[in-house]
Amino acid sequence: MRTSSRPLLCTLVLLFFVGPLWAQTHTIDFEDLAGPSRYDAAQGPVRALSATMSGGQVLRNSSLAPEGKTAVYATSNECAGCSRSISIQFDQRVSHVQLSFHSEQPFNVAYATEDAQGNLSEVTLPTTVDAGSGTVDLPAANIRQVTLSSPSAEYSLAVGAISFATTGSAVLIDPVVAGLLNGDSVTTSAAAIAAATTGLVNGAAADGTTEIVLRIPASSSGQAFTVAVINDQGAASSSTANDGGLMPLGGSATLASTLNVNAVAITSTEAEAFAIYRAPVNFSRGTASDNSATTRGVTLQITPAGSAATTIPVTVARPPVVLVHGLWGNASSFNNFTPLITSTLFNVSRAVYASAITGVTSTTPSFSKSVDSAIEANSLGFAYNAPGVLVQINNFIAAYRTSADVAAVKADIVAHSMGGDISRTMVPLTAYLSAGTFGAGPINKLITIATPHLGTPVAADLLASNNTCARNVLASDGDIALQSVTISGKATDGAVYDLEGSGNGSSLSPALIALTPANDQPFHTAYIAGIATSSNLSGLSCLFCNAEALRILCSGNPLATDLTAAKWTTIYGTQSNDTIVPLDSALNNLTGLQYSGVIHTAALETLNFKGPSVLDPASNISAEVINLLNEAPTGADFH
Amino acid sequence: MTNRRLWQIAGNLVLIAALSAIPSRAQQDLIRILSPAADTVVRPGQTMTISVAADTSIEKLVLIGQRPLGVGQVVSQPQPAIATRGQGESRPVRFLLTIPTQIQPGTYRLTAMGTTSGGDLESQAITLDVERSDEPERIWAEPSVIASLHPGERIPIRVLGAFADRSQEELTKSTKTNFTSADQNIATVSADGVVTAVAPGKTSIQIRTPQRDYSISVRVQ
Repeated sequence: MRTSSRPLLCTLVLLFFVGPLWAQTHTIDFEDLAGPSRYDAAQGPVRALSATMSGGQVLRNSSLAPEGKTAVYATSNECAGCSRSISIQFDQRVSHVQLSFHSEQPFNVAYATEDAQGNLSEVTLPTTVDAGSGTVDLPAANIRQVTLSSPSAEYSLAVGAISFATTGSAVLIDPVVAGLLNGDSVTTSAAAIAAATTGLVNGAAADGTTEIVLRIPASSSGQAFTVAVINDQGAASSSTANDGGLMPLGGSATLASTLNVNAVAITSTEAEAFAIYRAPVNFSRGTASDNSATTRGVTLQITPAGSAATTIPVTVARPPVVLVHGLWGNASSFNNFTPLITSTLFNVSRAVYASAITGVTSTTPSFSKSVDSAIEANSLGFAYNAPGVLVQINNFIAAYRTSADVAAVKADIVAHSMGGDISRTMVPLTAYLSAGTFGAGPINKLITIATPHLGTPVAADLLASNNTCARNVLASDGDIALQSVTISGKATDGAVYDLEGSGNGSSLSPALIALTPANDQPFHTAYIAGIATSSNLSGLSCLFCNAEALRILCSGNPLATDLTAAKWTTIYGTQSNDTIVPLDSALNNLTGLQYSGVIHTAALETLNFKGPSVLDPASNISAEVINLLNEAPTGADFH
Repeated sequence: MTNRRLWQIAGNLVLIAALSAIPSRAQQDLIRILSPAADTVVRPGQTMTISVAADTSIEKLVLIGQRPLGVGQVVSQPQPAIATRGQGESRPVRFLLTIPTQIQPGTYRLTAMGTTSGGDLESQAITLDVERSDEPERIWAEPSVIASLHPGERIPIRVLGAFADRSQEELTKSTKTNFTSADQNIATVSADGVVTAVAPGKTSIQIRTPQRDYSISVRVQ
């Protein structure tokens, strides 16, 4: 059954017997997947184009890769935890599977087909495939699984590409990946959708925005179908918010749980029908099982007029989560943010704006050259950093689509401190709405932790001329307080300048004034604030400690002399605060979740403030964030 | 005196004030870190002695490490973090600094800072190269794919490593981590792992540590 060349006529004849003539061929080539060049350890199942590969790992730039390719999926006895077998499971029945391979030893091939009742029949090829490079060709129909197995203890087996045809089966297509968008909407061109060979997915992220196209093979133009959303209890859906909903190509004002569509002619002999499924708004429906689930499911029931219904499962996934750090921070700011960062329920990535800034010609206030050369992006203002963080968020969503094999256009953003201001600064950017997000932008929910939405009085203090010594000490530590900086001749605001504000809404910096008002943002926001108590400040009045060293070294600087348990809170007047951000500022003068006995950041512990910080597990804020990620965006904690 | 002349004088005063805030070369020489040498490789958990020369005009002296290195402790002084003239300190001043065990590999600045009756001064900074003694068993990168970058846009890559002792470390800024682009006409990558899109096309970024490699694909639209 192994072939490396097969007459075209033979292939056409086989396809004729496989089923309807209209068949789309899809190819998984691993080229977008990351990996090492040599075996190290098995990785979890790899998903692509509605198929799952398991047993091995992705290798890139490996000598095993076929000519013209850089990536393979491979297994070997040299790979820790890898299996002797590579398994490929398809989410739907496919036909005419071809696999290009390279193997150091002969290997066996088996595949399983599925009948209309869902029963599997396994077939093992009678002859072993020879070692070397070549192609395995399986022209059968209704294949659900293929397994390549090495019979020997020493083995090295790589698959370079897998192609298959989706003949006679309805499929789900991500219109963003498949290039089927016309502006902010799915194209109405049936020909374009029918021709799509990329973007095959098995579901969508629950963000209320992501859309996928249901492509249904039909026997003739005009054939009528009824498509219905069936919930995970097996009943017809009664909630588009929980189960997602349907609309025809071209859209409609409201989503439906049942939709009638008619097939259109694709060619003189082929016809297909189409519907659009939009993901539910809510991942969790408030149940314990949803709260502890990585994915859940709904089913699309497709009933041709006068015929029996078929179904296609749709995976409902959680939107990816992106963490955005704060002033003077980096990705490691979230290293202790457990349980969220270690939870297997969420796909969590970290946006970083901490790269070195080159070309600094001057700063206000001024610093030594060695400090100037150490300036990182995390000392620069909202406008400087927002575009780069937006690019990262969009890319994390795209990477999530690749790894999870679902359509997704939005992420839940969890932002600490200035990261919340930077996230809000993205909204007016032209790029915010032009990234294949159906005109909604890439933020699903925003959760801010100790964000100075209304600034902090410490910012003005840091830039004051009577705090030069304290400012220089902090700069040596890497915490560079800037009003402005000129980079390659272009002036930009410093982060600390952008954070200026009294904390209750007055004396706001221009950057804070420019933020879109909370009630006009295209996403829902939850606010978390920390409140320091006397125990958090009790360490400041220490002797022979860093706080005292700063008081002695910079005596006369208000910020240094205020670094005592009695004086630090006087910076904020009567406002509660987390030692850096006033309460009203963290809540944006709205309601939110308040946590007492915590400080703004663990970095303050160097100056003898006592933790935990808002990002430490002992604060319980990370666990609260998980609750908020499970809460509907229209829930009580969101504005 | 013309208005223009007044503006010139005012401008010069502002310039002088600004310059006076920046330690001049001569001022920086009043405090010098004598040892260790710049770019000395140190290990997490290691305690080292830093020797700092200070002019007699320096009244108080501290050694400040870039976070999370912290502040050096003066050997044999009543106030451990500050060397104070006339309180038994010897010159050059010796500080002890313990590298935290929880620290990302990479370079960190050390600066000595002192005060005189006229204000504060600082030394030229030196860098320490903090590196683990062992090598990761496996490395990987985040993001795992750069899927849709437009020319001019930039994305930082984070490199992570898993070690035999089951610890996990970010290795992006380790001097032992190197980044290369397979096609610089499509995307470039900086020494600290920031990818910049140049022109539409597809390429990959390869990440190397002494014993491991990893690569991710980059698609520029």
